[in-house]
Amino acid sequence: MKMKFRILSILTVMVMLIVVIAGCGGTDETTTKDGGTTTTAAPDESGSETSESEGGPGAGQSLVIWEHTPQFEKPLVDLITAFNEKNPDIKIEYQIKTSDQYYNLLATTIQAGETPDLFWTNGTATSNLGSYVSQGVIMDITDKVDLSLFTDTMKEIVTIDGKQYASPTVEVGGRAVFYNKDIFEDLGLSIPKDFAEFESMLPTIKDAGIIPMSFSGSDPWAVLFHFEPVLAAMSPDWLEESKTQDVKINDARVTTAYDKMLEWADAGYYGTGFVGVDEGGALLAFSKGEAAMCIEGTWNIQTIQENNPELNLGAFQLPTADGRRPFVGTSSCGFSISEKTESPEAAIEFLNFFASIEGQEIWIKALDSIPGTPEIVSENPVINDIAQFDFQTASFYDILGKQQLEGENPRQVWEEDQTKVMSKGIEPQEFLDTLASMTR
Amino acid sequence: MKKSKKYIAFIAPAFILYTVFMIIPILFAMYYSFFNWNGIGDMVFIGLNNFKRLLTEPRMSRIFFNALSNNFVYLLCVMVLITPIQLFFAYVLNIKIRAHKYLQLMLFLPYVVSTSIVGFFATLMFDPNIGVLNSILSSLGLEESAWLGNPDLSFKIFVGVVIWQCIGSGMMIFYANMKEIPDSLIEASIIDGAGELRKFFNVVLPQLTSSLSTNITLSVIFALTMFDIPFMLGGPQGGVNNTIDFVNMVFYRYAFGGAYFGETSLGFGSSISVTMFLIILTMSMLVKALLKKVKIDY
Repeated sequence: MKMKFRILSILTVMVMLIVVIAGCGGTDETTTKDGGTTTTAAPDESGSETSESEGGPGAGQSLVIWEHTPQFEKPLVDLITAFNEKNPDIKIEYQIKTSDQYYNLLATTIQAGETPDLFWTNGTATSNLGSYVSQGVIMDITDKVDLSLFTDTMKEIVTIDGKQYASPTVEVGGRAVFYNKDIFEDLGLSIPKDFAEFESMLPTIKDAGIIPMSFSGSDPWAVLFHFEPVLAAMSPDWLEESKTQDVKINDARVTTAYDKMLEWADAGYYGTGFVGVDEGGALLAFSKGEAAMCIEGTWNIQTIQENNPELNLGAFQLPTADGRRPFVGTSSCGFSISEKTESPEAAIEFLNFFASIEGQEIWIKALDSIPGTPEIVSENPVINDIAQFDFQTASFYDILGKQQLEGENPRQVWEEDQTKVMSKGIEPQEFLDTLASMTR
Repeated sequence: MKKSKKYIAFIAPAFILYTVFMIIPILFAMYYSFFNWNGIGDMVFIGLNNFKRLLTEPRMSRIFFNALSNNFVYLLCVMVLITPIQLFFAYVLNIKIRAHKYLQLMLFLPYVVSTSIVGFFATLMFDPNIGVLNSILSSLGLEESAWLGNPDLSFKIFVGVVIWQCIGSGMMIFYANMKEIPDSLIEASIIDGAGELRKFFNVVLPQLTSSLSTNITLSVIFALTMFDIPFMLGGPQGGVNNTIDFVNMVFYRYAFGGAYFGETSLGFGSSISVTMFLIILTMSMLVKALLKKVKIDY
């Protein structure tokens, strides 16, 4: 009997270990090596003897680059590899952090006087870049790096008082409705031509025993990336007004978008208990075919396709009542150079490469993201689906930041309370009234 | 005769490390709590304004006191639910029921699993779309549940996960204490005709004051510093409607910024940690004083 229990104990431990290892294995592709830090170096230094760029800008110098999330590791590695082919004498190390700790770690290194030579920020989308500039931490690159590839709108995210403090990217961070083409075909559905047609599809999908839209109500950002296309489809005029003037954050046209989402939730179009689903779970449910659609950020294409390479994936923009297709897109920021870098020539050389058409093509393709310039064409058909839109709108989140009153922080309140709207912890109107009290 | 002071050489390494990594950071946190500072650049002295904001500003105080009340509700659960369960299983192991070694392994195993893996298990179990529990309910034709998405359930699930993961730690402390009870005492009670319940309450329990004291003190500190399990289950915002928000998570959000938002506020964050430090210190002293009073004479 004793032996039986011993065998049972060993078997139980083994089963647990297998589950744990399998669980870790599932996330292997998104975790980084060496405890969240991954490094690489330039190719064999002996190559410098025959290098064309020997003695060129930054030759013999070394760089440390920081990125904020593992999602950007592949683009960065591809970029460094291509850069090192042209500049083998510049040694580059990179470190990939996790987004929840990134700014904290960056502040610590800045404080310790060990700022990385190049590092990512959100640009002017958050207050960090402005804070670093005012502390003299970041190099003014206005006349040092060629940013002619980028439009003035793209450069807004790196510009403070008319000077540029980072390179933008041509990547447009958008939102889209991702859909399972096989489910649509089985149910005889096609891409909706207007908002009413989109809504009419939802009960059809639900009646077929499939979740119409997988949705994470527990993550404020996932709620935002769902809310913004709904707002753009239902109230494009409010977003249009925001381009030229301050708008009322608690306008009825904004409330109506939240009301619509709650109406869909009550009808069961997000499935059971969506407020307990995290963003990864929502993407996984869609990837596995549990849901027919998922309204999400376009940067998740890779995740969806990696979750299930067999998925017959398509995308479209949520149409307005009159059939126009809005696209909520935001510019994105690249790297800044530390003011105190010991390798300024190499850092500028790298950033010039990053800001070139070649650098941006590598970046966009590795990221599988939407290019904001016709000079770069994606090879991913889903990206081309997303690019089918009639007009571009601003992000609700950006509008909050643009209109915030001095000393107020509406985006922090938004982040804290957003999910409570979906769980009915607060009314949409109450939530928007609070935000409105902190904005112009 | 001059007293030897060689012991100082043995104490010094631990004392220096403790001072550098514990005492100095606490003193720094106290210092930062009087400043408006985001981690870099100028520190602006604002006196007690961070504390005033935390405790009196309507929105902030609502967030803080909601989290603090969750800490105390959890502490209550520890006292009336988790500790008795630990005690029960320790006793069950001590009387060597059938398969007690297997039971001991099963109860202690979750304790050595890291919290991130526990979070992964929780997703496997409770995710409304892809979780095991809803799959079972669905296959039985029963109504599926939102689990962690249900404000009425999320705290209960959290306590359940804590019981599953942490039962082994306190249980082992009780178990070790029970092993020290002289056999003669137990045998005497059996000769006197005491049943299992009487034996436990009249003989075993009175001998467990040292382990009870240790477990209760550790539980108070653990309950008031709770962070990892609710973070894994409910995210940095503390779950649906902040039902599993705890003070350390509020500290995390304000000191280090949101996941993407990224605006750090180390001065304000420090005021939260200092406030919590004072609460924990007071509670620990109270518990210590109470436990002194319940010392049993034999």
